[in-house]
This record gives sequence, structure tokens and C-alpha cells, in this order.
Amino acid sequence: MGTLHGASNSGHNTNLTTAHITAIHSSIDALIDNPSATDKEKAAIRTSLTEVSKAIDGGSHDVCQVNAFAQWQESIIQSLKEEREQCRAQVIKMTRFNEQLKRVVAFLQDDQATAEQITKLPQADEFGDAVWQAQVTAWQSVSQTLQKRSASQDYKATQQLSVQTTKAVADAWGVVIAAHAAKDKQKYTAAQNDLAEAYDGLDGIAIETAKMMAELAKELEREYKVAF
Amino acid sequence: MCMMCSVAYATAGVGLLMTSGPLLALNNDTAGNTSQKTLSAQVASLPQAPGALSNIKAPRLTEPKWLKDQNAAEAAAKAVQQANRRVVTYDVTTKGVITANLAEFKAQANASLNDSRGWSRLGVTFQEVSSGGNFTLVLSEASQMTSFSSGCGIDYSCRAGRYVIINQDRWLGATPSWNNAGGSLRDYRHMVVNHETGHWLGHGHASCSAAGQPAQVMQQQSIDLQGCAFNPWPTASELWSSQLGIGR
Repeated sequence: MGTLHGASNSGHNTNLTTAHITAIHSSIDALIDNPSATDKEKAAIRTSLTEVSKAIDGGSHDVCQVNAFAQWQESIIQSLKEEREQCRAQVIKMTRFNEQLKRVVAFLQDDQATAEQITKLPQADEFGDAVWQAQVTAWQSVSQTLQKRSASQDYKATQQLSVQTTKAVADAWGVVIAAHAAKDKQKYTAAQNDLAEAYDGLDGIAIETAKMMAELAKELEREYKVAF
Repeated sequence: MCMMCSVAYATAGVGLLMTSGPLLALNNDTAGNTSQKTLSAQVASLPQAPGALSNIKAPRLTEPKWLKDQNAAEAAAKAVQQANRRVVTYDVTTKGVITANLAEFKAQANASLNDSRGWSRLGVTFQEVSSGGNFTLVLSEASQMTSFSSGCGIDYSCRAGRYVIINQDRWLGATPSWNNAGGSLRDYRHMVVNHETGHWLGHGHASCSAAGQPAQVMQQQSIDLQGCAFNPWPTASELWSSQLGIGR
């Protein structure tokens, strides 16, 4: 077994250790233990996830292929054949883990895009009527931008919710403006209440995001345990 | 671990080690170590939108000038209306052994009299005074009811001359017919104060106008609702007072 396994021209390159696979495993372990309280720390972890995915992608997918001579060897040495089957099985596990990881990365990218759109909206504790129309425009713009963005499959439900909710806020501002123009106290009071309710709807986006993310994270962990 | 698979990830692994230096530097001692955190928990905490959205609240709207002006006008009109309201005064006393909370009695009676659904719709404000009021509101032990007039009984409340007398037993427990109809004690208290004060205002007893209709407050709801729904407040048709010279 020593000669065959030591020979670099045998078609079975088994001189390398498992250190490189361990490196990926270590990266993920490190990622788990990283602090994630601040936005900066979370951003670092998001970047790390992307790097891990790329690293797995960068591996050769033909690793388990051997030349004709090696195949002949396998026909007479059972352990070599078993080794290649194990190799294939490991590649499958790593691939499945990476597919799940890509879903997570894509979802986080979509989430980041939504957060960026929303955080650029003008904020203040109080708005005078001179800027109410600008609020309509700003929220409509965000809604349209979110609508046009091509999102991952897992994010589509959250995307739709985000589009509807931001449009609802824009519409609520419009009703406030109309009641103000009409100088109708009853309608104006109702419009104020409806505006507050529309803003409360933003909580729904946070809830949907958290729910989807938890499901994806759970699946990722499942594939991680299988792969490693 | 499959040794052949190391070939597949050799380049990737080296690349990762070289480019992920800062990442691994954060915690180099993690390979194979168990951690209290899990991958799923760590990943689940990463989305930005929830945090970003939690900072966004509906803003206050600066009150427009037209609304300020309208509110000021309404307040002024209300103040004028209040100033022009007729004031009816009453003093409060008790008779016999009183176990009910007198402070509560005074407060609730005043609230009933001045409620926007009640006799205040006559354009009247009822004001409690320490003595010498237009009428006297009495909380009386049941056994003392007959001392006010032979027309008063120990079972119910009564009005005799300037005295509007509330039977303590009724104040504390309403009546079986009221309770069986699902009426609340507070509503009963509204009703009995309004009913007896209604007598002082000049009203006699009324009957149920039609089954299912709200009873007039001058109906003897303590005794029998006669098919009407219990109602603690004077109806529109009852908004007059011969005592005060209002309406009719």
C-alpha cells in the first residue's frame, strides 16, 4: 500500500493531508466564535461566509477522477476503490453545504440591499408640512427600487412585503397631505393614525426577514454537520 | 477524512489560509473546539434590515396653522358654552347607618349628573356645595327611607320635596330585575341618581314605549323593565324640566 500510495505517478495523489479541508472547517469554527454584536463585526462575518463559499467553489471538482492505471489499481486493491468512493461522498457533502451557504449569502445580500434603501430615507422626530410631499416621493422611490431589484428565490416573499409596506407608507403620507389640503380635521386626525399604522407595518418586514433567515441558518447548520 | 479529497481543496485551502489571515487571526484556536454559539445562531443574527427598520418610527407632524386655529376656536366656543351654562347646586348628606363609601358616592353622583349623556344636556351644570344647594342629595339607610315621606318605601329610592334620596341597599346592590337583565352596578347607580333627580326636575314616572326600546330614565327600571332595554340616561323626549323652566 505504501508504494502505491506514495507514488505521485500512480494517479492517486494521497501525499497531501487533510489539513486543507480542516482549514475550511477551522474558518467556519472561527466564524461561529467571532463576536457579532456590532454592525462592523456582523459585516466581517458576512464577508467571511462569502469567502468560505468561494474557497469551496475554488476546489477542484475533478478531485476524485483518476487515470486509467489508477483505475486498474482500484480493480485489484479494494481499499483504493473505497478511498475514491469516500472522496466522491465527501465532495457531495461539501457541495451541498456550499449550495446552502450560497443561499444564505444571497439572502444576506438582498437583506443588505433592502436595509440600505430604507436607511437612506430622511428621518426626523417631527416633520413640517413643507416636507410631507418629499416623504411621499422618497418612500415611493424606495418601493420602486425594491420592486425592480432581482432578488434570490428565498428573499422573494420578503421583497414583496417590503415593496407593499413601503408603498403603504408613501400612500399614507399622501392621505395626510390630502386631508391637510382640505383642512378637514376629522380626516386629518384619521390620516395621522393611519400613517402611524403604516410605519408600524415595517415591523412585518423585520419579522419575515428574521423568520426566513432562521430557517436558512438551520439548514446550513444541518449541512455543515453532515459535511464536517 | 478522505485523503484523496485533500487534492480537491488543496488550492482552495491554501488560498483561504492566505486570504483569510485576519479572520483566522481572530480565533486561531477553534479547529475542532466546541463553542457555545452555533453556526445557525451566528448566521441568524446577521441580517441588517431588522435593526435598520427598528430605528424608523412614524414622525410627529407639526400641527398646521389651520388646525391650530380650528382647535382654538373650538376651545373658545366650549368655554363660552360652559360659562353660559346654568348652574344647579346641591348639597350632600346621609341618614342612618352608612356603610357605603361616601366619597365614592359623592364622586359618582356628580359624574352621573354632569355626564354628557345625562341631565347636563339641558344646558345645566350640577355643582356640589357644602350647604344650601338647590336640592339635597341624600344617601340613606334603607330603614330610614320612610322618614322622608309616607310615599317612600324601604325597598327603593325616592324624592321628597327638595330631597333626592338614594336607598343605600340599592346603591350597593342594585335590584334583582336589573341584575338579572345583565345591567352593571355602575349603570344602575347612574340610573337611580338620574331617575330621582329627574323627579326633582319635574318628571313623573314613565312606561316602556315599546319592547326592545331603551327605557326612559323615568321608568321604574328598579322594579320592572316591561320589555324595554335598561337605560341609565334621559332620552331625548325627556329633556325638559318644569323645575328649571326648560323645554316643553
